[in-house]
Amino acid sequence: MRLRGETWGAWIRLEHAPLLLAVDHAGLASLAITPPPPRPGPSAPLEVHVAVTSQCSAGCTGCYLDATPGGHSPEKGEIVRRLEGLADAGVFTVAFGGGEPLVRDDLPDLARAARGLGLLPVMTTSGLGLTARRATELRDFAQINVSYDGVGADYAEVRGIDAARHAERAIEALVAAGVRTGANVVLTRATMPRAADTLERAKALGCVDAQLLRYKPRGRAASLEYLSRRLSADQVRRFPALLRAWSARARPMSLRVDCSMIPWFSTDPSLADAARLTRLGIFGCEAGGHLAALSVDGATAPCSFLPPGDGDLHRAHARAPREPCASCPIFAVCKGGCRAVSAFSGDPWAPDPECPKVVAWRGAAAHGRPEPA
Amino acid sequence: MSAERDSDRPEPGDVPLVVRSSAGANCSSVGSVVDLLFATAAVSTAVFAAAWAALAREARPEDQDDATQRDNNAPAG
Ligand code: SF4
Ligand code: SF4
Repeated sequence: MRLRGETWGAWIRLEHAPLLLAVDHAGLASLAITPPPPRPGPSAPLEVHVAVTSQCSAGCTGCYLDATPGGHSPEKGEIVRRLEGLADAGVFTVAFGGGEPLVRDDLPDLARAARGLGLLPVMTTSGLGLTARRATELRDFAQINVSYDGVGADYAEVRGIDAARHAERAIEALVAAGVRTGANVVLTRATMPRAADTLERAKALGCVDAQLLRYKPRGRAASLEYLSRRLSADQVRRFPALLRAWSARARPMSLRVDCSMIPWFSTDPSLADAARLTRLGIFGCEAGGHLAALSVDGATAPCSFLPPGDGDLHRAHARAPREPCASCPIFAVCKGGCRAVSAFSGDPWAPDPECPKVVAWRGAAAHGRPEPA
Repeated sequence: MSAERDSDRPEPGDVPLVVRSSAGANCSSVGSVVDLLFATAAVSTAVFAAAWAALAREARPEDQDDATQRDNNAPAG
């Protein structure tokens, strides 16, 4: 196991199960575990997204990084130095992304280097061009997720390229190679009605989990088109019930939601329980908290969707939210929703404009009515 | 949970305080497994108990492999 001391106890990553546990001092004492002393200052992130290249030839219309075929890939030694820094800081997981990480032929070396430093390496890929032989070389990754936004035309709807079959072949190759494989599924207004079919197909292909992602206005997706591609207000309202149904149907495949989807839990009383969300390790906006990102140039950002910075402003925002977030029962987890979406709407510190509670509160305020509960 | 955000942490008394499935692989936003949100209280309790038992097994020195010992001794992580 890997331990990181905190003022309240320790974070512990188990070696033989894919679990991260938070244990208080009493629990640690009962198991005779002595963690190293906590470091002064804010805790290090639990997870860091490491861009290993800005190169990609897929040309997806919604690429949040605006990756291009002429992108740049740092030397292996430089990436390893960055990994050493993250391991020293006490980070647990490094998620390799890009660009398209597969443009690098030293990925197996990077995964081994991360493992050797005690980091858990995972990776996201489009899967384009992933051969069976290449898949077997990637076994040191703890998990690889393939972008898979829908069956057939739905993939093209999200990415603007018709490569669903390539993604499916990549998933099959990884599963056959014994790599723990997941699917990343971006939900848009057009693809959400068939999300159940997409998840069914991901399960049939052998994915252990599917990560649902909110479409975000960043990189090439930060255009007016975003407004017609994001989920409608009605789809957001129905999301909790659909998630429950998808989760039941997906078993034994697990379902994940991304941090920016937590505001959509706010109108469902059975989900809007901060203590329960916390106990189950469900994260809302962790920009500058449990999450950080390293750009291809080595610059640190609170999240890959945000400009470089050390996260101080995000931590300050989490301490002093505006209404209706300040009185929201799940603020402790949600933290006011996605800063990247708020930034697109003109104010990065405003409550998430696509949160149904925020929409209702603003509507009531505009009409001078009492604020909805 | 961080040094600056202790108020976010659950009340002590249950162990572990938090169980998070950690191997997800997304390179942009951070994902969280939601399966247990829809499970019964009995299933959640069983998962927490199983996680605690797994931790107890890994904490026994005789069961620790080299990597475990190395990590246990590593400064701050
Ligand atoms: S009101 Fe704010 S804190 Fe509450 S769910 Fe919406 S965005 Fe999150
Ligand atoms: S800004 Fe926050 S909610 Fe949005 S993707 Fe980043 S960490 Fe997640």
